[in-house]
Amino acid sequence: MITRVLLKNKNFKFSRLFSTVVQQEVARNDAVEYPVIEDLSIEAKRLKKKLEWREKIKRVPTIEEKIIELNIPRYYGYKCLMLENNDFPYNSMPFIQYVTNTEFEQLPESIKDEREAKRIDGFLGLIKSDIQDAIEFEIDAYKNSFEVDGSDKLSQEQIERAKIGRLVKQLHRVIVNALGADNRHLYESDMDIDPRIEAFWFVGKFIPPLNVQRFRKPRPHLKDYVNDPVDRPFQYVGNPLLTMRHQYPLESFEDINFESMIKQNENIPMESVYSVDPLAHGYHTLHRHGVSVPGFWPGNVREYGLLSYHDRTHLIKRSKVLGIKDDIDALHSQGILSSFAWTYAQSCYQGFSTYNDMTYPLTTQTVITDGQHWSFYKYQLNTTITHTELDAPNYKYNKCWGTNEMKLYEHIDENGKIHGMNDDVLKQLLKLYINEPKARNYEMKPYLDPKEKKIADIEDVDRRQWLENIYKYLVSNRPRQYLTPEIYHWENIYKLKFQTMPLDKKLRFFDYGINPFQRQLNEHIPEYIPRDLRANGPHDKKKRRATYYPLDHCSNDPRIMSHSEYGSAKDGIRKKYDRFRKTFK
Amino acid sequence: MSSRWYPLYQRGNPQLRVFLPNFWMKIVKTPNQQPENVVCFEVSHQMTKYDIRQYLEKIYKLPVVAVRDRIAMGRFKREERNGYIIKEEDSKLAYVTFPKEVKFTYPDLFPEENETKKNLKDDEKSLDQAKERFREFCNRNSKRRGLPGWYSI
Repeated sequence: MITRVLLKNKNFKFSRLFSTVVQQEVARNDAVEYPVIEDLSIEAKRLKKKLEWREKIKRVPTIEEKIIELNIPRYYGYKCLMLENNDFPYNSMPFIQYVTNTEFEQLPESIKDEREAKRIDGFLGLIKSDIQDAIEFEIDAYKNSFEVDGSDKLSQEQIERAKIGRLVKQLHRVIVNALGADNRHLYESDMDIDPRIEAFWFVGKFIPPLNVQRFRKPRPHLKDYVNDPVDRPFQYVGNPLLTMRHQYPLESFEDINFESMIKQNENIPMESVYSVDPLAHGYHTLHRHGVSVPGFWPGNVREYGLLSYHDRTHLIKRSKVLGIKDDIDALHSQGILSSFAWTYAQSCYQGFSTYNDMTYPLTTQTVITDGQHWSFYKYQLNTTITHTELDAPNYKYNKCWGTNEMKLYEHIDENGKIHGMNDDVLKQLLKLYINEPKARNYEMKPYLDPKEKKIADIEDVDRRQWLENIYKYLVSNRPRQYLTPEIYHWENIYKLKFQTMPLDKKLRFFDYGINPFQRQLNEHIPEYIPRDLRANGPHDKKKRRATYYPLDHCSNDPRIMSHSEYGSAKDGIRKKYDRFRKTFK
Repeated sequence: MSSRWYPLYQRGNPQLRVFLPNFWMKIVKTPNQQPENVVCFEVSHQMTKYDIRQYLEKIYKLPVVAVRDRIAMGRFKREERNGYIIKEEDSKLAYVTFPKEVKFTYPDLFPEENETKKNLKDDEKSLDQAKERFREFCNRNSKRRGLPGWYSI
C-alpha cells in the first residue's frame, strides 16, 4: 500500500530503504504475470511496425485526418502508379482485375425478371419519344461553335466528350422528370456534372522494382529479403460525365459468404503472372500525395453513389491493331476500374481505408457510352484490401457484373430522324434508375469518432483550421513551394559513380547519405508567429505555432522536430549536415 | 544491306528511299521482369517504332501488337590508362508486345551441365584443396618463430 502511494508521487525517488517492502509485496502474489515473449527477428519487427501503423489509421478520428495519416510517410508524395481513364494498354483487364481484387461476370443483354421488365416497359412507353427527341437534338441538330469551326484548339476526344456530356445531361433530365413521381429517390438525390473522382490505395505482392532490389542487396540484414514482394501505391484520377448520389446506399447485389471460404478466388488473376512491375505493362508513375475524393467534400449528406456516366473517348485514339476483342476488354477494365475507384473513395468517407477493411458491402452502377454504344455495369465493393493482408489471409473479393456494348440506334438520317432504336438498351438504363437505395440498420461509420466524424466537427478552433489547411493543401496537389531536391547529372557521374572530386566542400544532401524522398510529411519547422501576434505579448518565448498531425494531440509528448532529420541516416552524419544546412541547396 | 547512309527525314515528296537499309535487331535480356508476351530487342539507332514493327511483320511474319522504344544510356567507366571518365555508346531498346497467347522465354545460352564447364570446376576444386594444404603446411610452425614448416613431427 505504501509503495502504491509512493509510486503515484512523481517526485519520489527510490531508495534502498524501500527495497524490502517491494520484495515482500511480490512474494505475496502467487500468480506472477510475465510479459509476452516477443519475436525479435527482423520480419517480426517489421510486421509489428506495419500492423501498429494500420491500427493507428483505424484509431484516427476524422475522415480527413485518416487521409493525412496515410500521407505521413512521404513529404514529397508517394511515387504513385497512375491509373487514368484515358489509356488502357493491351491486355489490361487481368491487371486491372488484380489491382482492384475484382471478379468479373457477364450480364445478359435483356432483363430476365418478368415483373421488373413489365414495370420498366410501362415507364419506357411514357418517355420513349422524349428520349428519341433528346438524342436527335443533341447528336445531330445542336452544335457547339467549336464543332462548327473545326477549331484546332480542341482534340477530337474533347469535342466528342462535350457532345456526349450534353446528351447525358438531357437524358438524365428526361428520365428523372418522368420517373421521379413514382421513384421518390430520384428527386431526393444530388447530381454532379464533371465531378472530380480520385482514389488512392496500395496493392500488394509486386516484385520489387530494380532500385529497391539494388538497395537491399548490399545491406547484410536485408540480403535474404532481396526479392520479398512490395506494396505499391496506385492513384486513380477520373472525371465522369455525370454522377448521382443519395443519402442511403443501394442494396447489395449478392450476399457472398466469405466466412466459409478457404482459398483465394480463382477467377481473379493471381500474382505469379501479373505482379511484374506495372511500368512493364505501359503504366507510368508520378510523385503525388495519395488522395481519395468521391466528387464531394466530407460532410455532404448524400454520400452514397447510385449511378455514374463515363465517356469512352479513349477508344478513338486506341490502335486498331489491338483488335475489337481487346477494345471490349478495355471497356470492361474501364467499368471495373471507375466503379471500384468511386465506391472505394466513398468507403474512405465512411472511415475505411486501404488498410482497414470494410464491415459491409457498398454498391454502385456505371454506364459507359458514346451516345450510340452503351455498356452497363453493376459493382459491389466487398473489401478495400487488395492483396496487402499481413497476418491473416484475405479471401474477400469485389465483384463486377457487366454487359457487352449494345447499340442504341442504327443511324440518324439526313433529315435528323433516328432509325433502328433498340429498346433493350433503354430498359437497361431505366433499370439502373429505378433501383431504390435503402437505409441500413447497422453502424455505417464504425472507425470514425462519433463526436468528430470530419474536421468541421472539431471544436478546437486552432486545430480545426490547421487540419483544414493541411488537408486542402494535400488534395490540391500543388507542388511544394521550394523545388524538390535533385541530383544533377554531372554530380551523379563525377561525385557518386566515381569519386573524382574528393576535396570539394560537402554541401549537398547526398554527400551525407540523405535521401530527401524519405522525408516525412511532419518533418518541418512549425510555422513562425510574428512578435506582434504572440499570445503573451512580443516577448513571449513561444514563437512557433503548434502542429496537429493525427493523434498528436492525444499523446502528452510533444513531437520533436528537427530540421536536420529530414530523411537523414540516423547517425553522427546528421549533426555535420545540420551545420551546413544554411548553404544546402 | 546498303552502303548508303540512312537518310534523315525531310518533309515533302518524293521521299528518299533506301532499298534494304542498314537495319539490325537483336534479342536481349532485360534486368527487370517483363510480361511473358513482351520481348526486348536492341535495334539500330535509326529505326523508328514503325520500322521495328515492319521489320518483324514483313520479314519474320510475326504478329506484332504494340511497340515501345527508348534510348538506354551507355555505361560510364574509367579509362584504364589515364583514369578519366568515359562513356560507352547509347543503345536503342524496343519492347515489342505480341498477342497474349504468345509466351517467350529467353533461351538458356550457357546451360549449367556442360562437359567442359564441369571439368573446369573439378580442376578448380583440386587446385583449391592443394592451396589449402600448402597454407596449412606453411603455418604448421607459426607459433614457433623462425622454424620452417618441415621441421616438425
